[in-house]
Amino acid sequence: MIWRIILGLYMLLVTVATFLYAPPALGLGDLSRIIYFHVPLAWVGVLAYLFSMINSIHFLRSLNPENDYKAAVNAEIGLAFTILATLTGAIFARNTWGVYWNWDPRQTSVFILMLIYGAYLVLRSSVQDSEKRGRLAAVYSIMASISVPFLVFIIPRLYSTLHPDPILNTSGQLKMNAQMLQVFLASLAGFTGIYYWIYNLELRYYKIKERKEAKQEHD
Amino acid sequence: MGKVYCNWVTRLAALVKKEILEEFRTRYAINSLLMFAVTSLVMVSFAVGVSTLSSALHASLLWIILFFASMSGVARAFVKEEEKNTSYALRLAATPSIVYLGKLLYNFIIMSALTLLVLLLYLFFLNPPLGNIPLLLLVVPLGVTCLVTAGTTIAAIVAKASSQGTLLPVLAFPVLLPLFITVIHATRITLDGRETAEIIQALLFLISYEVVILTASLLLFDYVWND
Amino acid sequence: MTDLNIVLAVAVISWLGIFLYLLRLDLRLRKVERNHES
Repeated sequence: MIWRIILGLYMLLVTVATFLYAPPALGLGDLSRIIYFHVPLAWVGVLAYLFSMINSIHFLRSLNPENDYKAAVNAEIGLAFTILATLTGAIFARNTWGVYWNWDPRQTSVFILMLIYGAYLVLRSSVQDSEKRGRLAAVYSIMASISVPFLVFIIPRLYSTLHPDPILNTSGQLKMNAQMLQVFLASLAGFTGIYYWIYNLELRYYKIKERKEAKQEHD
Repeated sequence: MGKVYCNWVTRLAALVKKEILEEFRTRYAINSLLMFAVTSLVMVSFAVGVSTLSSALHASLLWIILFFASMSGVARAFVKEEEKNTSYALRLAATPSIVYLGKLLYNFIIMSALTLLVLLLYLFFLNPPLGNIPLLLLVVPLGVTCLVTAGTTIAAIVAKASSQGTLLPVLAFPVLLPLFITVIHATRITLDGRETAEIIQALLFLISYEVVILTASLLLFDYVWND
Repeated sequence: MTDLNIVLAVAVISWLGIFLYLLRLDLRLRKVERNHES
C-alpha cells in the first residue's frame, strides 16, 4: 500500500517541479515544459506495446489465457497513453510551428502506433471464442510490429523533421541543463510507475474474475 | 528429397488450379473487381476533369485505387472457404503452408491482371507523365506483390474473425504503411523520370519488406488456419 | 496569478483526481481479495 501513497506524493512533487523548478528551454518558452509529460507518455505507449508483443508471442507458444489477457490489457493502456502523447504533441506543435499536425516523423510514428493499437482492439472485439481471439490477435500483433522497424527506417529519409529532438539533443549530447534533466528523468520514472500501477490493478482484477468463474463452475 | 519437393509443387499447383477453376465457374471475383477498377478510375477521372496533376498526386491516386481494389480482391480468397464450410476439407487435404502459398499465388494472378488493367485505364483516362517506363514496370509489380502478400495473411485473420471483409482495410493499413510510403515515393520518381539512385534504394527496401512479410506469414499462418 | 500557475493548478488537480480514482479501485480490489481469502 505504501508505495502507492509514495507514488502519489512523488508525482505531485514532479508536477510542481515541472512548472516551478525546471527552467524553460532556450527559445521554446514556458510551453517547453510539456515535454516533461509528452515524452514519458510516449515512452509508456511504446513500453506497453513491447509488453503486449512479448505476451502475444508467449500466448502463441503456451495458449495460456493469462498471456492473452496481459497482451490485451497492455494494448488498452498503450492506446490511452499514445492518445495522450499525440494530444500533448499536437499542442506543442501548434505553439511552436503554428499547426497542430504536419506529418512530422515523430508525430507519424506515434500516430501509427495508435492505429495499430486501434486495429488490434477492433480485431479482438470482433471474435467471440476466447482462444481463437487470442490466436488471431497475437498473429496480427506480430505482423503489425514487423512493419514498425521498416517505418523507423523509411520515414526520416522521406520527411524532414521539425521535432525538437535536434534542439534538445544534438548528436547524443544532452543539451538540457542539470535541473531540466533531473525533472525529466523523475517524470519518466513516475509515469512508468503509474503504468505499473494500472497494469497491476488490471491483473488483480483478472485473477479475481478467474477465481470467481472457477468457483461458479465448481458449484 | 527430390520426390518430396515434386510432391509439394504438385500439391501447390493443384490448389491453385482448383482456385482458378472455381473462379471461372462463377467469375464473381473477376467481374466485381473489373467493375470496381473501372468505377473508381472513372470517378477519379471525373473529379480531376481536365486539370493536370503533379506526379506526386498521380502516384498517390494510382496506389489508392490499387489498395482498395486489392483489399476487395484479396478478401474473397479465405472468406469463401468459410462461407461454404470447405475450410475443414481443405485443412485435411493440404498443409497450412501449401494452403497459404496457393491462396497467395491465386491472389497474385488475379491482382496482376487487375493491375495491368488499372495501369492501362489510368494511362487512358488521366494521361500521367511517363518518365521512365521500364522502371515503372518494375516498381508497380513489386509493390503489388508486397501488397498481395501482406493482404493475404491479414485476409486470413479477418476471414477467421468474422466472415465479412469490412475489417480488412482497417487491419491491413498499419502493416502496409511502410510499403505505401516507399512505393508512392518510387512511383513519383519514375513518373518524373529522375535519377535512379534513389529508386535502387526503394527497390531494395521493397524486396526486403516482401521477404520479411512472406517469412513471417509462413511462420504464423499455422496459428490462424488451424482451429 | 499567472497563466503558468493556472496550468500548474490544473495539472495538480487532475493528477489528484487520477490518483484518488486509482486508489479507490485499489482499495476495492483489496477488499474483494480479502473476502476470497477468508
